[in-house]
Order: sequence, then structure tokens, then C-alpha cells
Amino acid sequence: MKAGDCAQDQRIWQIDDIVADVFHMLLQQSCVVVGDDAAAGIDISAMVLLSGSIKAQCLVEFPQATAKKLTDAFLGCENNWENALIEDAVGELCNMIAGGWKSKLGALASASDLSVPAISRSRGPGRNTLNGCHLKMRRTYAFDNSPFTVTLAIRHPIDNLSSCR
Amino acid sequence: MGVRVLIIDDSPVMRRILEGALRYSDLDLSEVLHAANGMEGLAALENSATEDRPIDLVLCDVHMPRMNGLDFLLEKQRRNLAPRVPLVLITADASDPQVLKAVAAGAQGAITKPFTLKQIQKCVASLLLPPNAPAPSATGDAHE
Repeated sequence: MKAGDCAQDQRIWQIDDIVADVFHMLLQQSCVVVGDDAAAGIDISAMVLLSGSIKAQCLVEFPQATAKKLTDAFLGCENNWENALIEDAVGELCNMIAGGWKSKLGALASASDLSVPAISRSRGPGRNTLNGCHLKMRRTYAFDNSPFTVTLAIRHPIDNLSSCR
Repeated sequence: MGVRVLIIDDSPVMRRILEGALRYSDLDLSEVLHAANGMEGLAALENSATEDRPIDLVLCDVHMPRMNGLDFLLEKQRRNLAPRVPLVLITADASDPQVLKAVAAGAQGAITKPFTLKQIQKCVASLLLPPNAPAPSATGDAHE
């Protein structure tokens, strides 16, 4: 299901603002929507789970070159960063997007906890995936001409979505 | 003598971002110490006391392996380590119950990620008081 399919999408799926805030506040960079299809050539993914009053997932997926550029931006210079540092940068971005989404969900998620980011480099069965989700929204963004994808998904409870602010 | 700041975060990227914010401020910074969890943070505070080189401010993540931010604060208090040194929590989740508990237990504030460099610099400047000034009160964007 895409954003437009859900009557509450204006309140639930404020993902564009959240992603833009992270890049603007922390990096003084713009980050724009480039589509609903996943970015090509995903190499690194990070996923944060919300558990408790709502069960939801936030997944970010990066090509290696974009992840490297994100790390450059976070650390203020270009370098041949170790993979562990690049993965940490992707995990931190996922963490901030998930935290921002939780705050937008308001009362629905107030009794939910965020997990630490789970990082995956696998393209096979070990890759982070969104299983059993009833509502899902995916967007691909680009900063400095470098694409990455964010997917938000809600597993439970979909009946309470009207309580979102 | 310049200010010594301890940054406790399991993310090396976030530690570097925070250090960068401090170094770009007007702060007279002499040293920034890094710790990857609460256990390492306690060791850094103990070392600073042993060496008589006090730490002036602690910036601490909430969710970390081995010892999280709240447990670090409670253990620091139990050991009476750096009791007058302000501690600011860094979190992606402003409504995290652990943040609220930590502020109630004596943390001086919480800053929510993403933050601007100015937010960090303003918060730090407000908490770094002269040596004999009264203990700082809570500050930060999440709990003002």
C-alpha cells in the first residue's frame, strides 16, 4: 500500500519532513524525493523496530556509494572510511528517522520502544526485510545526487490509525 | 585551563559529530574524551578523578550495549563520581521513558537527534558554569 491509499496518510506518513529535517538540521543539506521505487543497487540496509503499543518498522537502504557519501557528510570530510564506520552512519540515520516517525505517530506510539539499528550487507535471505506488514510506504530520496530508500511499515494495530495526529 | 568533555555513545559517527559541534563552538576546549558505553564512561570519570584532571561536562547516549545512559547516571551517583558535573542525554526518541527517568534522577537535560550545531553549543554553554556556581538545573530541547 502506498501513501495515497491511506486516508490518514497526511498524519501517518510524514516521512518526507522527517528525512528533510535530518539532513537540514544535522548536515545543512537538502534531501529531495525522487520516487517511490527502491534505489538501484542496494548494498547496506539498517532497520529499527518499534515495539509495544504499535509494531512497526523503519528500513533504510543504501547503495555503497551513497552510504560512503553520507559518512563523508556526517564526518565533514571525504575519506576511505572503514566499512564499520559507514554502516554506523547508515544505522544512525535510520535511528533518527525512526525516532522522528515515532514522535509523529503521537499517542499511538507513545508506549512503544525503538530498537537499536540492525545492519545488514547481505542481498540474500539475511537481508533486512519487512515481514507481515499491513501498511507500508516506500520513498526514494537523493542528497547530493545520491539515492537511498526509506520504507516505513506498520504491522499492528491498523485499527487504531485514526488516533494518529 | 580549557574545558574537558566526555562523550559517551556507542556510535563512533555520533561521537565525532558531537565533538565537531564542540570544536566549532566558542568553547575553550582542551580535550574531548570518548567512551563507547556507560562502563567506559565510568572508567573515564574515575581516571579523571585519579589524575586530578576533572571532566567538566558529559554528553551521553541513552541506548548503548553493556551499560545504557540511565544506568550510567545511577551508577555514577552511587559511586559519587563527578557529582557537580552536568550530564546531557542525546536521544533519537524524546518520549523514551528512560530519558524521563534520567532527567528525574538528575540529568541536566536531553537533546533530541537530529540537532543543529547551535543547539549543542547553546546547551553546553549554558551548563558550563564557573567552579563555585550552584549546580546546574535541567535544560535541553526536550525538557525545558
